[in-house]
Amino acid sequence: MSKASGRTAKAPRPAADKAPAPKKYHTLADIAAQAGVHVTTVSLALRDHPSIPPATRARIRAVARDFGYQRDPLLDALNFHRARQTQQTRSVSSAFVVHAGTSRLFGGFGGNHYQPLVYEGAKSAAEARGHTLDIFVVGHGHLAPARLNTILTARGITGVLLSTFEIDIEKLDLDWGQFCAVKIECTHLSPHLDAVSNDQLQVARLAMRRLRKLGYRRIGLATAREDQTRLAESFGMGVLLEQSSLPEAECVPPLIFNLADVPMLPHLLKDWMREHRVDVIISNWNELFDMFATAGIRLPDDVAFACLDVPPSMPHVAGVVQNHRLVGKRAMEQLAIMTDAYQRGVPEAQTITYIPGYWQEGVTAPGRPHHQATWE
Amino acid sequence: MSPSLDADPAQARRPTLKDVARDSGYHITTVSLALRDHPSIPDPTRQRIKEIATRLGYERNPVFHALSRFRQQGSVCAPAPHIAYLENYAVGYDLARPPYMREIFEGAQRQASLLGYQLEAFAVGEDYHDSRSLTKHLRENQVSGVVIAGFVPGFAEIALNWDEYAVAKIHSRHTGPEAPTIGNDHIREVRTAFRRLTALGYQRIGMAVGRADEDSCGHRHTAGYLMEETSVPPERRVPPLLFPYNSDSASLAGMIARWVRRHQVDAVLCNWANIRELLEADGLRVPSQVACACLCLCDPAPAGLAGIRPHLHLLGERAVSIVVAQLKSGERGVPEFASSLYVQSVWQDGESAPARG
Repeated sequence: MSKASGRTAKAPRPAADKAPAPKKYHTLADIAAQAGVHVTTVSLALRDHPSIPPATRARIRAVARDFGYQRDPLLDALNFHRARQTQQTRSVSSAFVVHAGTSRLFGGFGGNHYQPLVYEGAKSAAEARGHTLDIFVVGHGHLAPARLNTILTARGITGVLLSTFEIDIEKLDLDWGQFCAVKIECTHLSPHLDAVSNDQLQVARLAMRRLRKLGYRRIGLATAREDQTRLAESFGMGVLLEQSSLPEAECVPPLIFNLADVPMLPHLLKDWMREHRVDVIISNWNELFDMFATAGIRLPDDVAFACLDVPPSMPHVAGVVQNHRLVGKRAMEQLAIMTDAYQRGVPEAQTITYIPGYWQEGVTAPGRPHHQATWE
Repeated sequence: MSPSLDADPAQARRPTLKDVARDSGYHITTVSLALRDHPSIPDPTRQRIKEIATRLGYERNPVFHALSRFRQQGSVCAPAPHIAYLENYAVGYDLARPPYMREIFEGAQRQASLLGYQLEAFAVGEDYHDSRSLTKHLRENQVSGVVIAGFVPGFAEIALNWDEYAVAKIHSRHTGPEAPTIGNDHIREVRTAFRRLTALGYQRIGMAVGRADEDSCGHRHTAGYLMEETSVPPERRVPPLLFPYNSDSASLAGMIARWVRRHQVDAVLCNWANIRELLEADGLRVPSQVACACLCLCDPAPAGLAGIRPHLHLLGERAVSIVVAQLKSGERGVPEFASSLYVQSVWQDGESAPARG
């Protein structure tokens, strides 16, 4: 009874009286028919959607396995493409959670450069998917974790980005089983969710290498103990690693100061510089830049300076520019993947993604022609 | 001034036939036919449309092309597209992979098949593929996803035209391209192990790892070790032992034993699974004289060996996921800032490093 379907027919169809060839390819509809559920239930179940009871999910999976069902990567790619081309009608909202106690690091929004850049990156990635990203502040005088939990649940928000928390906050108590979550930088914070961070180790190593190429031979790291702890000593390790392949005469012990000692810093800095004949200081503390003037240190005559986190407002300062925007973007992309796959809760093994920074030349660390290595 | 890390989403979108149609003023079917050189479209028109397509940067998406081709041929199901899994250690053909490589490979294989792809292993090296033969093979089989899996320094390397491929690397930091790289977190592994051994009462902990392994993982064992050493007094610090390239077990045993005796090491951290045998080969008694822990325990792990258990299958899984994400979105080549992914591991106690009473 099959009629040749007009001009587009490419090959003769098999005769109608023959038994239909066994199906080589099974679709969701086949599984649905076999399992006695609707096709959308099958689709959701195979993607582990929490709205389908676990027992049903298992049953449907078993049927899919018996059929040898396999996801079709080509259709998958087409779906991905179509989802990107068409404007999403439903709006998905994710939370960008910051801690009220991080004012020193960020100076609130609009203050320090770090937090706004991360947020901007995350927001752009969210918007590219038609999602919105709302800011929530927890801690001192703001939301308590339990309250945040209630608000997120009430608004149907499942995606949570945790942006940098200070080290004295060790834990954030949310009902993690309900949420897909990614941390930004705060790897010390429990629970062990996947995290995205600047690659501080690479940043320190890059700074050491570039400065050495510029002719510096006594490179000294100055940073706060709190930063070392918060960043799992990444700056310190970068310096140690570079020093391990340098001659002994070039190894300057780092100046690690406590936040409580900051008022004394101009003195500490001066003593340390003199004792170790530091020719260039590397630091993530942009505040040092202002401190040199008060301490009567002339830049770059007395000492050169390279920042380990150059803000956009200091294009004349030498150092490493960290890709904060890209960190935010990658974190949001990862969160979107998890939300799409309904991957909630704490993962089996935590993954940390590091984003490298790049070097920026500046007047604070000019080349020292007499010292430049000739072999490079 | 700053590099273009965040392309405007409108620009990031790949131009489609529709865009070419709008710009050229022809209907979309005309454009489609013209780009496929259909004789029904006059030559000058074809030429004009092709020029506009080139200017807009239109490229045929190989995935959709394959999809539509199979649909036209009447079978809905296309054969699974392949992802190349490159190894430069002569494995995958005759030789069996060492356990840690096997675990990574199996993870990659499982993830590929879950996503509907097929993983195809290639050995790169003298008797196997070189850049040219591999390029030819990948082109002929329309493979554009590549995983560079645990290349061992000192063995063959490869240079493909990376702009044509979606690439991810597993370790392999000593070799190009600068693609997203996946690894287990050696820094944290060493630091966790060091702290655990310290808590168990060991005073002179030493780390012995292969130089080749360090080169391929970006010296991350050393970084973690040097940092932990800063927390012990200088007289108790032990310089790390880096085995030279191509060390065999026999020469290694002597080297380790000399280092243990010279620095009075009471606990050895090593990334080789046969560390206990190496120590015992030179007459050292484990754990009464010297304790040991392995930094990379994988099945079948020697019984009673303490150490770090990495989630190696996740390395393979993640690498494939990254490649597939690029294949889906049609991205090719390496990004301006390639990220590094580190999967965390867990410590496991064992009788080779008991608590010291």
